[in-house]
Amino acid sequence: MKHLGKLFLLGAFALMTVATAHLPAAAKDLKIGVVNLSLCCSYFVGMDQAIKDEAKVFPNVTVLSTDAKGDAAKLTSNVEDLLSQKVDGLIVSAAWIEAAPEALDAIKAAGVPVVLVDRMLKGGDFTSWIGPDNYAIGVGIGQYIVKRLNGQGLVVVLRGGPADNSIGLARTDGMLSEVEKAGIKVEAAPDFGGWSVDGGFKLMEDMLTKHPQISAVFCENDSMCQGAQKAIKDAGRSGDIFLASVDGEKGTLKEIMTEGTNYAATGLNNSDQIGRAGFHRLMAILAGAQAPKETVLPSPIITKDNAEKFYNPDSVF
Amino acid sequence: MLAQATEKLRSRYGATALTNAAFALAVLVLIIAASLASEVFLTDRNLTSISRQIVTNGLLSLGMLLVILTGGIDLSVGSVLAFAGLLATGLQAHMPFPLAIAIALAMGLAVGFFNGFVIARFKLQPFIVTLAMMGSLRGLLYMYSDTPQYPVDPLFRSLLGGGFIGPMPVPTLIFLLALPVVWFYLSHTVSGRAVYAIGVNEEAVRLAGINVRKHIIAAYMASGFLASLAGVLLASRLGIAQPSVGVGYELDAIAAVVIGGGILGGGGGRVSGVFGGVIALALVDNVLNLFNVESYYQQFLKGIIILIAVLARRKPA
Repeated sequence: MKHLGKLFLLGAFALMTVATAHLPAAAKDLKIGVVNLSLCCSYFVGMDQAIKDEAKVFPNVTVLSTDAKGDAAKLTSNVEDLLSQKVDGLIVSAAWIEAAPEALDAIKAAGVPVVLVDRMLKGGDFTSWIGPDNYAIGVGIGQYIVKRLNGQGLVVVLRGGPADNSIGLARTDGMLSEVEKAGIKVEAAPDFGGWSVDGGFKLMEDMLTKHPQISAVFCENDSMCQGAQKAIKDAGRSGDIFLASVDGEKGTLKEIMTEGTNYAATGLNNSDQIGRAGFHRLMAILAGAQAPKETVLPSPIITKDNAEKFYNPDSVF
Repeated sequence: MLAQATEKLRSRYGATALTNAAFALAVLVLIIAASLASEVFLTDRNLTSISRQIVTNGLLSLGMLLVILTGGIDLSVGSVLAFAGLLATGLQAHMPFPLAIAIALAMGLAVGFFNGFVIARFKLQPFIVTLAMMGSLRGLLYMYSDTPQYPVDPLFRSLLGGGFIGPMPVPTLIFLLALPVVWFYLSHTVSGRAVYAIGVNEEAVRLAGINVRKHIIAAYMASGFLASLAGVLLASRLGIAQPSVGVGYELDAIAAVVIGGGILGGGGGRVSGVFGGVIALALVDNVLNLFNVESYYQQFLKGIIILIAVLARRKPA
């Protein structure tokens, strides 16, 4: 009898521990810091916005977002400011800088997890990275150009710059790996287009003057090709030159879907998707999940055949 | 009533002393308000981070003050800063790092000498001469290195950027030592006095038999030297030197000088005012971050704050 009572008690205790183990953890407030190198352009604004949108779903998650206005030193001090505020985790969108060792060291010393989105920083440790494979996107666009040109013609390349921007370099190198193999001629504009519509317009005007025969234009991002397209149209050469770029922003997708356009293709690099994935990656890490060090998001090549599928009129980018 | 009281004070202490006192009080109020409103403001981490953040703009502003006093301006400081950082880190692969630093500082002196010489010898507008230097030097540093440079010697980072003497970060200490040096130069040496006088009336100084050219060149050399010192310290703090760093820094330095009571066109400005201006700008940045003010509002507010600070210093008609 006594034993039975003991057993019963033990059993009840065991049941209780099992039951409590399945209760959700007590809700606690989470503070997440977002470190943006720059909110200059819709690509990065879209990423920042995507993180905030995902966080809004959870009433006890606050997002503190900062903008270093393109300055690597300010990015480091923004990291320090966020760590001062005792954030539980950080998301870093370092855009066009290669490395920020001091910032990553400070995060490590504070013992909080950090998820890098879009740009994988060198020279320092991080918890996890999610972003595109820019070289692979370049390869995809290169294959498209080769197929369309049949190994003939001249491709003009518009680069974003400056010289230390390896994102643009990876895209162009990927494209060149396919195009040069096929024996197609390539001519890069001597100057940089600064990733902007007006920059692309100006570079293209010069290239049109220099080269009477151009078959295709490759730009390191959509904006520059939008400018280049306008310059080609002004020169009355839309019929014999097509454009291909990287990003898949709204305006470009709409253009690609337009009947009779010479804007042929873009490699998807979706900042909205990257931002959302980055947020959930950080949440999983905070919950104790073992996350992979590097996650490459798929970047399909978009043409008039599939643009419909990717077009979202409400997107920021 | 108030008007009478201020009038009395004005006649006793002079307008500038009064506005300087009011400005110091405003900075103090800002500090007190920040400590009351944000619990993290006064934490060690945050204070250390602010003290590191003032170094770059602090050193640039001291150099800018000397140049502005002569009636000039130095727009090349951002490019000098970036170049010095690249040299000090890049040359470490071939020589001991103190020598690499010495070469970087010598470059700053040389650029300053060139600026000053061209301006004083050919009577050219300082704005245009230093604007040209800013552009050419940026091109030159990209030629020297289109990729980020990492320091080879770990001592370079741990001694300078990451080092502490007592509670004080080494870069902060260097800036705090530079303050009395510049102050002593301006108030206790013949050359410093001449710098003030040149800004007020260059012709009169020349007629008094003082070598104007020599003192103008000295001011630009000091500016170049301080900019290269700031570049070395920044690279050691960030653990990397990037060719695209320092863009737009000259404007922050000019803002700090003017907020601190400096007069564009020459003849007015003090080291204490510049120190206050640098602190005020850094505090505004830090506090807006701690209160999570959105980036675009931050830029807007910063502009308004600078405008108010300058308006408040307006000489009564």
